[in-house]
Amino acid sequence: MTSSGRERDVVGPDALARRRRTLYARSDTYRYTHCSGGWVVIRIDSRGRETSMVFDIDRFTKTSVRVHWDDLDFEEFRRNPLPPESLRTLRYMCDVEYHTVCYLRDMLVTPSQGDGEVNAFMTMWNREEFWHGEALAEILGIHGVTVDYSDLKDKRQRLGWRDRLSPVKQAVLANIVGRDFVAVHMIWGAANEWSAVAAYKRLAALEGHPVLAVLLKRIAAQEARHVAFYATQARERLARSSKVQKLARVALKKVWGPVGSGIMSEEEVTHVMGHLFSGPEGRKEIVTIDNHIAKLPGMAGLRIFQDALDARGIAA
Amino acid sequence: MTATESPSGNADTQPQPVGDGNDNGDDNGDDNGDGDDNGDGDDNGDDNDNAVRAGFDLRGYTYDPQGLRPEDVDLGALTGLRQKDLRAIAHLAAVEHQTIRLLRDVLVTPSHAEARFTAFLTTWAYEQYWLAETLDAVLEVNGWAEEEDVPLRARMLRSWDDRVMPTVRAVRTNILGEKFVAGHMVTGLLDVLVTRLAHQRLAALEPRLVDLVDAVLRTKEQHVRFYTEQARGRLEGHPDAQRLARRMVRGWSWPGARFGDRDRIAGVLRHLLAAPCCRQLVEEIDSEVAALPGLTGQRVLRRELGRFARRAAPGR
Ligand SMILES: [Fe+2]
Ligand SMILES: [Fe+2]
Repeated sequence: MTSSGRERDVVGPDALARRRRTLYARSDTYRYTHCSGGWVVIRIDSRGRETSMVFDIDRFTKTSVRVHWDDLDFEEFRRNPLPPESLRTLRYMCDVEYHTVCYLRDMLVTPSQGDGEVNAFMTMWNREEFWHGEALAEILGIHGVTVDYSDLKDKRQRLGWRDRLSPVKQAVLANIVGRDFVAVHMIWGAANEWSAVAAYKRLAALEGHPVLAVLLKRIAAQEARHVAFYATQARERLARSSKVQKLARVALKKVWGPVGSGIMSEEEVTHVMGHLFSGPEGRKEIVTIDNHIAKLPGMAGLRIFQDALDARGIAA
Repeated sequence: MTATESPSGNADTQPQPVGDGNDNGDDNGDDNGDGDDNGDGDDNGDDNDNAVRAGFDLRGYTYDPQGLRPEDVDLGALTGLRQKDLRAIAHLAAVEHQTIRLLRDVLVTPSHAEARFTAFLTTWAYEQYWLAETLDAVLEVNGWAEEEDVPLRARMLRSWDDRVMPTVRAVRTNILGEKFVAGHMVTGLLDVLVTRLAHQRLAALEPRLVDLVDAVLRTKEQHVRFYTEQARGRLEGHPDAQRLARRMVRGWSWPGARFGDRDRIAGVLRHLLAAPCCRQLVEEIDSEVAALPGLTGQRVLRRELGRFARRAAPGR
């Protein structure tokens, strides 16, 4: 181990081993290889199967920053304001970003929160999403749409009992199905993050606004890192058993809805989905997400995003 | 309040036990008294909110977190620390790592609707993560075997804090709403005050830790201000909130102590708080809490330390 704090950029196997120990069963063993991107952890389970962890949590936490816009000229929005339908979509996105902390809560009440790596991710992720909300709120503010903390509070309170009780239900459900439930959370998260990347990319393209496009690109880059975490976790955990795969399949088919559908009115969901994903270009993005999901273990043939569009009559 | 006293070799003075055996049964099971809150109508949450709005600069705080990081510390100068100090650091690292659990415990209660609170917690969790990582790094350069801490950490992260279940029950059975928030602010304040005390004492006992601890104290200063201001604003003129807060304060225990291993923690506390000068510091914390509206006469920390002293009496 290096003794100087300034040289801890490359995390050596010792530190990794210690960090991961809380992550997997003690019967698992590990080996480490050093490749271009840093240390890669190979987990070897009791049956000798190897899995590599492609998501490097240490690197993620070290490079996690709030999204910056100080260098962007937001005055441009006064000279060149966004049209109402885009503001409506931005407002939706803003609320969803701010709502992350409640989603975080839903994850934390299930066994998934026991893992050191998951905790580290959640901490950084929650903060990044909070700043996505702040950035979008600032743009909305310039257009005279105020999103302040008391609005958010009102919204959260209006969700009322359903929202208050959901962590309890979640915990009960999670205790019944145990650790398997974590896999469901992870694939759910992956779906949300994939759709976030697509949504920001689409809005940037649709608007062609010079400043908005830059900001949305920055946000989308962070969302892509979130995808990496959730997809890696989901792949790992789904691969462990077909029982888990079945559970995840049922959850996605029967319970899943586009991100925000639990908190926003159906009218708003339909507006945003239609605004961003109608027409051939939008549909292409949606098909891509479905394909990503279908590649995860046991998920072949699922097309939840296309189904969500079809159910709302949004044409390709 | 700063740690100005010099390290004291007087290790055989126990934290003063306070003959306070009458609190048995106070901690749990008395939440059936909640029914009497039903009659008093609405929460007046908005007045409450306005009362606490001015003051603490939330925006500035979220914008510029004091995330102390391992690379900010000259770890090379911190090798060869005494076992006693390392044990104390390990305890503090475990405590600071449990932030995410506290986050969950707050988020499942009506407090989660408080967007100001969640914005604070989001940044706080981030600071705490890096603080804990830094303490881990100190342990690491000292070759501290983490194994013995893992069970405690895992337990802390996985268990439900028994403070929460009564809250959830109460929420389900009647509308206590925001009155719980004040109590969370008070226990949150207590947690920060006592961990701050522990850090201060650590620096007093091991002068090489002074720089590190100074940085820790700077971050905690903000946390203390936030919690104090929030607690005061939410308790003032709200007798129900005060009553709930009193109950939650009675149920408070040293961070991490709820999850077993009180003997190990007792050892750490003996090391940190045995010097006679600590009585004064403990007193200061108790008066700070007792100065809050409705909490007059509470001597929370003294009572809690008394419990530890009673249990750990046979010499070690
Ligand atoms: Fe986001
Ligand atoms: Fe994201």
